[in-house]
Amino acid sequence: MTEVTTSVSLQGRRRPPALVSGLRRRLPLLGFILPAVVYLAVFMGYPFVYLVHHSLLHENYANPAEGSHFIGLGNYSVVLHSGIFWQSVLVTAVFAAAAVSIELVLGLCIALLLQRTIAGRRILIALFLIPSMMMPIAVGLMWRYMLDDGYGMVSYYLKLVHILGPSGLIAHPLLARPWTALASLVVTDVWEWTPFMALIILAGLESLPIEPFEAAAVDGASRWQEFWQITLPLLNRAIVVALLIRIADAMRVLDIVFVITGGGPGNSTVTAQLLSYNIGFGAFQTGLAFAQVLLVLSATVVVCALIFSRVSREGAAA
Amino acid sequence: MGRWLPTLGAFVVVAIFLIPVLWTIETSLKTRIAAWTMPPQWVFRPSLENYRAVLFDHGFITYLKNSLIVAVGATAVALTLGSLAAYGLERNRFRGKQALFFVFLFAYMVPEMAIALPAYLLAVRFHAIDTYWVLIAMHATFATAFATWMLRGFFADVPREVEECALADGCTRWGAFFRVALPLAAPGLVATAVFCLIFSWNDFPYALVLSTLHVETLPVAVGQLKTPAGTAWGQIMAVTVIAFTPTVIFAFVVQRWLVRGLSFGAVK
Amino acid sequence: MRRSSRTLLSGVAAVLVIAAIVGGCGSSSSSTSSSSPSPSAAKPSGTITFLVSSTPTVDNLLKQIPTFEKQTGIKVNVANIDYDAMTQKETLDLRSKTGQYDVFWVEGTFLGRYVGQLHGLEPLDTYAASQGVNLGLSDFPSRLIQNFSMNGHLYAMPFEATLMMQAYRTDLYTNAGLSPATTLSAYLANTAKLNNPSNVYGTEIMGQRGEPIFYEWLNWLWGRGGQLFDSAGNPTIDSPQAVQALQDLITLSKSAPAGTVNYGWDQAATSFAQGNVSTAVLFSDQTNGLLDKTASKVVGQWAYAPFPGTMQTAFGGYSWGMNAFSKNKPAALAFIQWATSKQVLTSLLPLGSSPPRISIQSDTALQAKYPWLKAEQAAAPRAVVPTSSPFYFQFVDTISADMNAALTGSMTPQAAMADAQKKWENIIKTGGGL
Repeated sequence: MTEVTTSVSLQGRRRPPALVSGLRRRLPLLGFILPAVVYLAVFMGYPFVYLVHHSLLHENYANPAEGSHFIGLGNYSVVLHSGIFWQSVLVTAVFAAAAVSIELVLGLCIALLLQRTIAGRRILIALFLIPSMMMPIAVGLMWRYMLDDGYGMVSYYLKLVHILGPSGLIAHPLLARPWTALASLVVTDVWEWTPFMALIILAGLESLPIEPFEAAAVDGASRWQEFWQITLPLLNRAIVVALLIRIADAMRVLDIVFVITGGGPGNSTVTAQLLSYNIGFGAFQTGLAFAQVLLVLSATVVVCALIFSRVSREGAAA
Repeated sequence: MGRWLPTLGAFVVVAIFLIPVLWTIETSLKTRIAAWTMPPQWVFRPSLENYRAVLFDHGFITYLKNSLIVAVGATAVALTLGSLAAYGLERNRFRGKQALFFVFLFAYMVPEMAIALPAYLLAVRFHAIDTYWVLIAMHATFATAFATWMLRGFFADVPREVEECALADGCTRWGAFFRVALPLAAPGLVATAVFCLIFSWNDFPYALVLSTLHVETLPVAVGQLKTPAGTAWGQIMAVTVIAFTPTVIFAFVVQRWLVRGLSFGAVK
Repeated sequence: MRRSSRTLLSGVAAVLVIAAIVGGCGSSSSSTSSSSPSPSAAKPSGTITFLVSSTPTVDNLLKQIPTFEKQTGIKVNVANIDYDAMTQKETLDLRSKTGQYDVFWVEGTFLGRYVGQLHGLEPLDTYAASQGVNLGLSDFPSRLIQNFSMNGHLYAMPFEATLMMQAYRTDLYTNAGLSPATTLSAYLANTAKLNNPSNVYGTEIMGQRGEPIFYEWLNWLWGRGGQLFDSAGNPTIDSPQAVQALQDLITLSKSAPAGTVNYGWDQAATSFAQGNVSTAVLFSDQTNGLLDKTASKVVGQWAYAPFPGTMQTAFGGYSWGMNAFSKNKPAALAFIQWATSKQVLTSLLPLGSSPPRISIQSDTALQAKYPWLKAEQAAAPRAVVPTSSPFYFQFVDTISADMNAALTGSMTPQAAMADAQKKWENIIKTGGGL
């Protein structure tokens, strides 16, 4: 942050004093932002306004005869009083927390490995990215096939080493009990998105300035110290980006849940997004579904905002 | 020898991650009986029947083309709007900066399934259902949000001194952006492009709701193979392989940009 | 210089936005669809869009479409998508009245929503009469016509009369001196007797949360004398018969592979085709998977028998319906008739189809060639649509979750059905809500 202050004061001295220099400098930069904002306002603004508006209505999209009438926060009340909603929030939170934290740690380790790889890096990275590049629906189908109790490769080998199977650690099919089903979903998500995480962190690693490391080498810092006190804080930004995007994604997870467990066993893997999908596109109770979506979205925003401000502050302090 | 350890580790890790991919490829080459036979067969007589059926019987070449057009279009829009926005946001100092950033992340966080319904209604009103434009436009929304968010980090890492020098030398802000910041943030642009392409390529909700026949993309078309009378696993795996091959090739080609080390030492 | 670059950018943005909207304007003209009868002398022509989901019989039908196009000069655009997605798109289309799809896949359980709520299907009997066309309904069993009718009108022409049949391994049954069960207790006894976990399991059930477990359970519910609703329309799914039916499924699962708690119709059929179970209740549209040599290890060693007992069984057939907002109804009707014609339906038999026409089902020559026809003919009169309530989706979603929970041991059958009953009552009370 010190370098920034320096350049500002440097600027102040270089440029001729102009009292609107701030504003004049800002205008073109605002112009940079404008296209994207306008674009999003048009193409996301209307749908979002529709979303909010219809969350305040009692409406069955598939039944026009019922009409849609304004019930204010009625839908929100129903959702907040619904047991299955809170259960889905819990399931989503557990899933997101587990998946993202594992992806972060794993991604960081792999990024470090890749950074220090001295041969075959190009092909390695291209291949490693495949899981993140596959269609989510295909990933879901693939893992459903592999996790199948009778015909799945994963189940077969787990039975071979007695982790699964009647005489094994887990005496029931993976997808037949709530915790193992959820764990299977987490494993699938980790497999799918760790490469993505690793790539972002790797790009971040590659963009790090050399000076701090040179200085550390001069000071005789150990590998470990270098990592914790220089690399990690500098990677702060990249990690935050990756983290927030993954959290947003994990809280919206639908494809793999839909395909692998369908919410089962019972309702134990019904995530928030799956619930709103069932309500909104299965039962077509759009008012309720939208209310639920907005509630979950608000929660996601709050969580992300907290993480963002917390981690950004730590990075700033470094 | 210690130098080779990370390389070895990387190879091992990637190999483990690729086991399911190998399984996918093998399944795509199997007949239905073979696909379900236990114990899992790793060596068998391969057959290209699934690929033939998928490409020619089910017309997946068309779907590939559609996916490509939409993905490239959406990525182009997203990179343009996103890099401009990210640069503007990062280089600016004003109060609402963080808030505005958050608006972009927020746009990314809204679940597509929820937006899909109003988007459908809007598209119907403009007679835009089943056109490339509408799909590109909707894909570009979350792609732009994502791109802005991601590129912000990369622009932040571009040192201001370089631009300040350029500006002091008489460069305009646009020039500073285009000729200085952008090239320096190139690895970020490439990484972002790769993921924008992937997100668009793999999107399901918008593609489902906004396409009928002519612009049906791969993810929607894959659903064809998940039939009420049984899932054609081999064919689905074949489509999956066909779908990720171009993205892998593309990622391989742009490697150079992705991981090129930046030496700021020289810049100073 | 800076200001102009900014205006340039804004201009570019504006152009992009406008272009996106304008460019999206398709060439489709908004012609008002007339529901008044058109002169019957006009020959059907033009283009129609046909929405389907893939099955072996449908795929074959699609391959035959060029013949239809050549015969009639009508162009048929086919939209072939995922089954779940298909039902959503149908609802969206009917609700928005855009008439994007002229002909599409209709099941008996859809009528509550598509006809009762959305008024989106054209009543084929009245429309055909207004066009001077004879639908030839006498060749279809009355029960079948009923399954696709509502309020006295037929809304779709039957294409596949899918039934739930008792599939059994003829070789295993002969060796054990058994014949396929005709009572529920015999079924339970047979499957227990033939259960040999190290070799071939006695049976399997479709335990997957969603429609699979619901349909699996329905047959037993009716078999035990229970009903979904009473005559006043109130749910009766916590009755002793309903609980017993669920208990039956749990009993059966003990003679089944462990994975049965998650089997959908896909896996159930595959499991049978791989030779892993001796008996199962399968949907008859899975027949193809049992006949196909590249998919089945039990070719020639299996047969169908009706579901044991004399009570109702679940009907899972599908048909072709016409969009009430279609912009080309004459062509749509011509296509529907062709796609359900005797000639076309007969051509689909080698794929394991369940033909809806009496003339095909009772043809002795065909019965000899396609052995499942006889069993299906015997079973057909008992097959009914589960419900024509517009809340079908919510009902299935809630009850299947509870039953699956009971099956996997996290709830007792009584608790599960009591919970489902409560949820169903709530759904009806709130008009479909949570």
